[in-house]
Amino acid sequence: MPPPAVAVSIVEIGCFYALIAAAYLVVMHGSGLFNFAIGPYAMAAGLGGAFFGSQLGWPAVVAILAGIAISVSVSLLTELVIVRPIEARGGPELAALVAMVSVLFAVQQGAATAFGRRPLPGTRWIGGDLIRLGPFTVDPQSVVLVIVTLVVFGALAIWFRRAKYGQLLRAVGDNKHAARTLGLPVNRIRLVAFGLAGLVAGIAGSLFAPKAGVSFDAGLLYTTSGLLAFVIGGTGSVWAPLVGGLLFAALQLMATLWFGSSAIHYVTLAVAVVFFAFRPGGLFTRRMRT
Amino acid sequence: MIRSSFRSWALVTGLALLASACGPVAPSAPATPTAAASQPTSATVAPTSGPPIKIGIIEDLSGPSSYYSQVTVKGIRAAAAQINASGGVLGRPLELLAESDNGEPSQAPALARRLISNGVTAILMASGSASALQVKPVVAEAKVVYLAPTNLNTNIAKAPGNEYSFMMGVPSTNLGTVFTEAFKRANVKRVGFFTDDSATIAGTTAPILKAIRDAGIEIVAEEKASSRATDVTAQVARIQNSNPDVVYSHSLGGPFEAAFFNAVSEAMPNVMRVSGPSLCSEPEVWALARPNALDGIICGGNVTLDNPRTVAANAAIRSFVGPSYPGITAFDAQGYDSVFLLKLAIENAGSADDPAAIKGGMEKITRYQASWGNTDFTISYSAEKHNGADGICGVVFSVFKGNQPGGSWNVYQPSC
Repeated sequence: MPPPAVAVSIVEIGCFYALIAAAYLVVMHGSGLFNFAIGPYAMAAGLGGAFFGSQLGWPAVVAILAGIAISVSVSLLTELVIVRPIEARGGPELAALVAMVSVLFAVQQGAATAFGRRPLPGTRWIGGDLIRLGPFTVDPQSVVLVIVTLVVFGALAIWFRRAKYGQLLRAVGDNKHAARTLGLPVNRIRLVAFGLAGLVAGIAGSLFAPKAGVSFDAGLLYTTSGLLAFVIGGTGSVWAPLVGGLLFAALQLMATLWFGSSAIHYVTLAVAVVFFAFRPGGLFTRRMRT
Repeated sequence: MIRSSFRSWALVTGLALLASACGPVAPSAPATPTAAASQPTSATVAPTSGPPIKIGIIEDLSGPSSYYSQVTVKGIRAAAAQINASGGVLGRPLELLAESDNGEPSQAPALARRLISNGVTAILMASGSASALQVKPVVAEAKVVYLAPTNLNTNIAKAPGNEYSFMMGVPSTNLGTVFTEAFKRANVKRVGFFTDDSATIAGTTAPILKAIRDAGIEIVAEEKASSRATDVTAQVARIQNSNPDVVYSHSLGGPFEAAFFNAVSEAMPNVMRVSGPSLCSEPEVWALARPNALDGIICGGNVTLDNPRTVAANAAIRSFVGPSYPGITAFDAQGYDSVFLLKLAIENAGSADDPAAIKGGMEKITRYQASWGNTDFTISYSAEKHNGADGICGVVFSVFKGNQPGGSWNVYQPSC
């Protein structure tokens, strides 16, 4: 068993990774794309909220909502301005991937220009003293992170199963060409997917930013961490990113605890190699009717 | 779908790996006539004339050392503005040209060459020690005076190739001496040591650890994390398992330091906590820590308002920056003094256009009374001594209170 403080960190970081991975999942279902700009969306929400709160003195609620609105807006713009024209041209998958990577760096530099290149203290969703729960000491912000994560995943599960667009999203994810042939509004579904992913990523970035501040270049780290959590979990369940996030965080922190600081790099590499070599579909794979 | 997108993952992973590689016033009581020449005067000021004397700055705007870099640059700009308002240097105004290496040492040589090609008379290094070392051969070849106001790595000012390179801050050897003495005074036997993984810190850690070990104090844990880490709980748990008497962080500062002391304040609230100069001098970092998480930390490398030059410098920088100025720290004081030292060197040389004479002017500076450190602290250079600190009393220990440096630590203060 990890020490209580490490266990708390695993849950904190795992929830953050899971939310980022969930945003990947939504875009993957809605467009079949890996959206590498998910991390920068989260960063933009965190940094924007931090800027509005700490630099402009806006009320915390307004600053947080404004930060998340940036994430949603940029994500929607990515679909409208970048992805849609590429899809319309019927360009190769690689063109869209390169475009996503370009968006990643563009959002980072845009955030640096708008909010500065220095890290800022994230705007807290909730204040108050540390909470003591037996051997565990928990920041109230972390409690909110966990609760919101569970709410987001629960809402996504219901949305995918019950809501019209949720079901359409899965249909497009299963087979985009078939969905288009059947006359489904693929473009609109993809726009919904990007908007929802921006919302989930924005919530993640906003919740995580107060942990130790946020800087414009954090987006790349968020992108790679969330991607690995997504790869571990797979696409077979809405809850898969949560499992992937928690597992990846546990591996990283326990490796550091047992073997020292440099172990985190080996674990990250090992996770990537093992999953891509032996379990490329992740822990939860989708069962397709044939 | 995941299998088919392996190329995607490889692409972003490759990019990630690529990316990962990737206030104070003039001295008021000069000890020597040479130093007196540098002091601002309240007499009628002659307007500056002639071409500006260009001073280059290599700073870090966004990297791990950006927190202290920007504090340093604030002091540099305040001093230049004050000197220009007081008649300039040899009647000529100072003009600052700044380039940012964004904390990437590999960028620093090219930036130094760019500054030199733009005609700078001297270069001030406001980025990390690793960058400072990269620039050293460039200035030696170009024969341009080069002063590192805050860097700790003693190799910057050491031969070979140090003809034009000067240091002004607290060298890491001195840090080792004073921290070791502090631990002895506090009856510390077991040290849990924590650093970041930057090249700058890697180059300054060895003398500190050697001094501690030579004093018979055991290093029971030696942990490290990425300078961009946002969570170091596992490292803190490892340190906690080693049961140290003190937890000592030596890093570039920034969010890293806040994350570390957030975790330590939870895990080991009753263990003595010590930090190096960065934490004392980075007001923006204090805001990143949880409320009161920094309280009780003993920080080595602060300033004391017992030093009248520090008080004067604080007023001068505040008048330059405005009411948002959070108050003087060692780094803005060092940046501030560095410009006055260059002024002295140029005045000693009698020319801003003769690099060899300016170098000689630097080497004539003796017992310059600094705006930082204890009241007795002075800076001197000679042909053999390019490391300016005269003794160890440039380090002031203070105790954090209310998440900012508070009063003096009453257990130990270095003396010269």
